[in-house]
Amino acid sequence: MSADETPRLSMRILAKGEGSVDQRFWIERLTRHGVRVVSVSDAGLTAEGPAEAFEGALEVRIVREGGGMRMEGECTIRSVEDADPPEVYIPRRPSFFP
Amino acid sequence: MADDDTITLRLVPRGRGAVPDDAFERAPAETLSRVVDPSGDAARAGMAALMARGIAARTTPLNRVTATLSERQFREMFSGATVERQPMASEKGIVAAAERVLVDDMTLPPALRQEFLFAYVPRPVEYFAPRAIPPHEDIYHLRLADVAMALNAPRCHLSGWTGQGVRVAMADSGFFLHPYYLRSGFRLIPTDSPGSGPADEDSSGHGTGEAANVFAVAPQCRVYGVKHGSSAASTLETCIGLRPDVMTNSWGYDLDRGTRAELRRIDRSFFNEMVDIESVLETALERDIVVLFSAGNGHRAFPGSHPDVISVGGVTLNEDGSLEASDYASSFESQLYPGRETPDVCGIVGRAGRRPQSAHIALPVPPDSNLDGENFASDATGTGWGLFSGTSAACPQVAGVCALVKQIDPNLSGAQVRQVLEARAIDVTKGESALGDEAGEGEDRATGAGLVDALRACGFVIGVS
Repeated sequence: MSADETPRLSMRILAKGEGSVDQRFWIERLTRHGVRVVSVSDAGLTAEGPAEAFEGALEVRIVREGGGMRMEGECTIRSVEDADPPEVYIPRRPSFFP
Repeated sequence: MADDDTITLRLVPRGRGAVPDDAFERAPAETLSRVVDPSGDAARAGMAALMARGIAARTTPLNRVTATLSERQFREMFSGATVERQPMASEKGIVAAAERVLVDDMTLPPALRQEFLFAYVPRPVEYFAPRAIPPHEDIYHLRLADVAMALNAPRCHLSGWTGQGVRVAMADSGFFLHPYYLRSGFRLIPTDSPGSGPADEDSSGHGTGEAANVFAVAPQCRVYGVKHGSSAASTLETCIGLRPDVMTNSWGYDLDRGTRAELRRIDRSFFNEMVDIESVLETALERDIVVLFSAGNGHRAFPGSHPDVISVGGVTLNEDGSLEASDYASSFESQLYPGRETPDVCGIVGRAGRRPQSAHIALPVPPDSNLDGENFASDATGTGWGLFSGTSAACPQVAGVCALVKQIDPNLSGAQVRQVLEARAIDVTKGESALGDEAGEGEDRATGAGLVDALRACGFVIGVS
């Protein structure tokens, strides 16, 4: 996604364990690429920022699709050599049932 | 009008200079500030003239006079004036006082013209806010008090089971502090979640409206209205962090349409989201939080199909008092969780698109939100009320019953609370759900165990039903 059309989005990065080495690595990496981490919990991180910044931090492609955005490819970056890459997703908007 | 009804007047004392009749048409404020005597002498003289007639009067800080008269005194002072008290009808977006006094002619009597320029009866101010009570509507529908009755909650309240001390977290679109909540003294606490923006802003109206269903059943519980933010998982984490006893969720994803393996293959992103939400819910359940989700309005909703949450469907209360499965509410066998059938129990839900009963419950919403005036036969836009009643309404109703039960026994787990609700639900034997399941004798897929009954559930917990 080019810089002149980069929208903002939220993502969940499931680096587990609050305060773990894995989480600290991802908070530092996301922040360095211009992504803001808005919540940290045992289950993972929630982050907000421009699509382009996420693309840089996660080394994935984010494309527009049907009014929303979709991630192409999987994040393969490891915090340390023997760690698994985190599962990453773009949250869907929930439907309400009025 | 009885003679002892009083009328309040405000009188503007005459200053030293002459004032032409049309002076106030040209520049009212400036003109008036010039002609009122700043020393207060004129005001005091006017007050004395009124008191000499037996009229209670006092001066104001800026040297005007207010007087309180009986209607008899008023008629004597303004001979020939007719007085009428008019109920103040609240209009679109306006909350008005109870009544106003209309006077057809308030020409000052000659005896007071020396002291006063003019007098008037102040008009009650109007508040540009939504109404604290719903507007009149001719089509059959329920008010929140009717919902409480249908779930047998008022008799619980008489026994002191009101949800006192119980904390409920509700994740939704936002929670506007509607006059309905403020006037009723309900404890609704709008709470931000990561990326949500201000929790008391609700452009949809959904969360504001649906929260009223909790209070209808458990008026003294505390509801933390958590506004959805960047992700549902982090919103749920915020809810858990509030240490609630009950979590109610009138939302979901219409995605329980294939196996987990199929979902993973088709939509890896949502598969990851589902697993994330499952793990967060597991934390809630480990902490003995009672977690409820709507089953959906014809949707196949996750997390409503999660095996460990209380899945809430819908029963319609007909005008003749009979109950039947709502053809607007979901019932289905989960594909994600084989063997899991939803719903477990039901709250009150309207019917699908068939007036007059499609829109069942009058709920408070922010004026100008998407649901403002929703489904009213007449134009009710701007009133701050809407008629809507899907499983989004049913879920917080059942959450209210859970709050009553948790007040009685705070140590009950989510699974135990579900057993209590199911054991004492009202069996619903007629009707068909949105997804074609028929209600029948005993437990069925259309309504689960049936409509929750607050009194019977509470009675079960204390061992008398």
